[in-house]
Formats: sequence, C-alpha cells, structure tokens
Amino acid sequence: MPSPFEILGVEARFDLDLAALEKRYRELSREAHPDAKRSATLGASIDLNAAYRALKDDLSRGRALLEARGVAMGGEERENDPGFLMEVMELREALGDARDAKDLGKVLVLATRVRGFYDASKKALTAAFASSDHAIAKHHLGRLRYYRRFLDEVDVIQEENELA
Amino acid sequence: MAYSDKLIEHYERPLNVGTLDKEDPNVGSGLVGAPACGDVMRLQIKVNPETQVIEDAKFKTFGCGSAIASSSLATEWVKGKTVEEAMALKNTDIVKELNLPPVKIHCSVLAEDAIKSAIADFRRKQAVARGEDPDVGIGQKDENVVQLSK
Ligand code: FES
Repeated sequence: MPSPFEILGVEARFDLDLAALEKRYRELSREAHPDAKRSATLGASIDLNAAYRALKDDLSRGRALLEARGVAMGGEERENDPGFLMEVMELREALGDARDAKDLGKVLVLATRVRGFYDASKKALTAAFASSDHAIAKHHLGRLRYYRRFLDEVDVIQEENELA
Repeated sequence: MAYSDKLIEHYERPLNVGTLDKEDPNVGSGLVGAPACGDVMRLQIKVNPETQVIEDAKFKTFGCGSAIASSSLATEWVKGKTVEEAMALKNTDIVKELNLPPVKIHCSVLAEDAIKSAIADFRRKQAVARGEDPDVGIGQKDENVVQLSK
C-alpha cells in the first residue's frame, strides 16, 4: 500500500507547502477522474481523495509521516505527564464554565491561548521531524490531539452562539 | 447501531459527578487522557483505610457521552468494593454493560485507566504516610516501609 505521499507524488516531509499540495491534488484528480480516462479507475480516485485528506491535516499528516518512515505509532501513546493533563483539565473546565456563563469573550481568550500552545507544539513537531527525532515527534503529535480537541469544542460553542 | 438504554440513562443522568478533596490522605485522584480523541477525565475515590473499602467515588469528564456514561457506571461499580476488587475492573465489562460500539471503546478505556490511576494515587499516599510515620496504618507495615522510615 503506497503512502499518501507516494500517491500524491510529493516529498515525505511534515512541513509540506499546502497550497502546492492542493494544486497537485487537483491536477491528479482530473487525470484520475473515472470519466476523464477509460484506464483510470474509480479506486484510484478514491485513494487520491483519502491521501489528500490525510496530508492536509496536521495530525494525520504527522501519523502518515511516522508510518512512511517505518516508525510504529504503537497504537495510542498514553500521555502520562500529570502536569500536562492537569493543564488540559483546567483549560477544559474553564471553557465549560465560560460556555455555561455564555461568556463568549472568555471563550475567545481561552481559544487564543490554546491556539498558541498548538502552534508551539506544531513548531516543535516540525523541527523533530526535520531532525528525525521520532520520540519527540510522537510526543508533540500526542499533545496536538488534546489542543485540537479543545479547539473543536470552541467551534461548537461558537456555532451554538451563532444559532442563538 | 442504536445506543443502549443503559448508556442513555447514564449519559442523561450521570451518577457521582463532582470532586472530592484531593488533599485528604484517604482520597486517591486519577487524571487521565484519551490519546485517540484528546479528551480528559478526573476520577477520585475515598477509601476507608482500615477496611480498604471504597466509600465514595466522583468523577468529572470532558469527553463524549460514552465517556460520561462509562465513568458514571465505573464509579457506581467500585463503590462498596475493596481497592483490590476495584483493580479488577475491566473496560470490557463497561463495553458489555453499556453495549458500546467499537468506535467508542477508547472511551471506556479512559474510565478503566482513571480508576487504576486513582487507586495508584491512593496507594502512593498511603505509602508516604506509612513511611513518615510507620505507626499509621497498623498491620500494613512491611520491610520496605520500615526501611523507608529510617
Ligand atoms: S470520544 Fe473522547 S472520550 Fe469518547
């Protein structure tokens, strides 16, 4: 099974140029479209879509890169830094309180803070991949998951408030 | 697959939501995260040090409905059990009882991990207490503890 990097014919690295990636995907999609060429199969077009989706997103691109480099993700790595878990718990608690209080300003302040954490971890992840330090890469990939979950929650709250 | 009635009940009316005093030497606190989704859970137990029976359990979960139901069920189960018995709790028991679909199994793992981590915290506290003063916790003295206190 070729890696998503191979399917899209791009270099296997974390800091891909996402605009170039999208362009490449569009070109290949046209070629692989089942109507465009008789030899092209529907399967190829499905693989292409899945590969693009995997590479577009930081978390799945990180996992795909580890896999492409032959590093097992080991199922799910457990986060066992109590300080980090405590921080996430407190952030989620604060977000829950802000949501209950309908304090959208507070929600945004928290979101900005967590986005900062996300970006910092992503930067460290990029560096770890560049120097092939895969233990560190896994560590930061794990943290991104928690920050992403928090930011998803922010999106939900914002949607609620737009509807209200 | 439709969610089971038991799951919906525990989700809509979760039991044992709340916190216990984490400074209490008889309270063990577990804080765990689910790497699959990035959700977090805190679960606490209050243990009678003489009998080792879990007298109270509380949790707070920032996770999906299945995680809330799993922790509600898990806290109910461990209450009245000894710490030793509670260690035997398996996430698969939760999966069975709540009829969780495969994509929600990690949510039940979160609850199992939280119980284990709360028990570990309680035991650590007990060991420290025994180490500082071996007379605390009569009948639990052992070689290691005596050495610790020297
Ligand atoms: S999806 Fe995160 S705990 Fe269930």
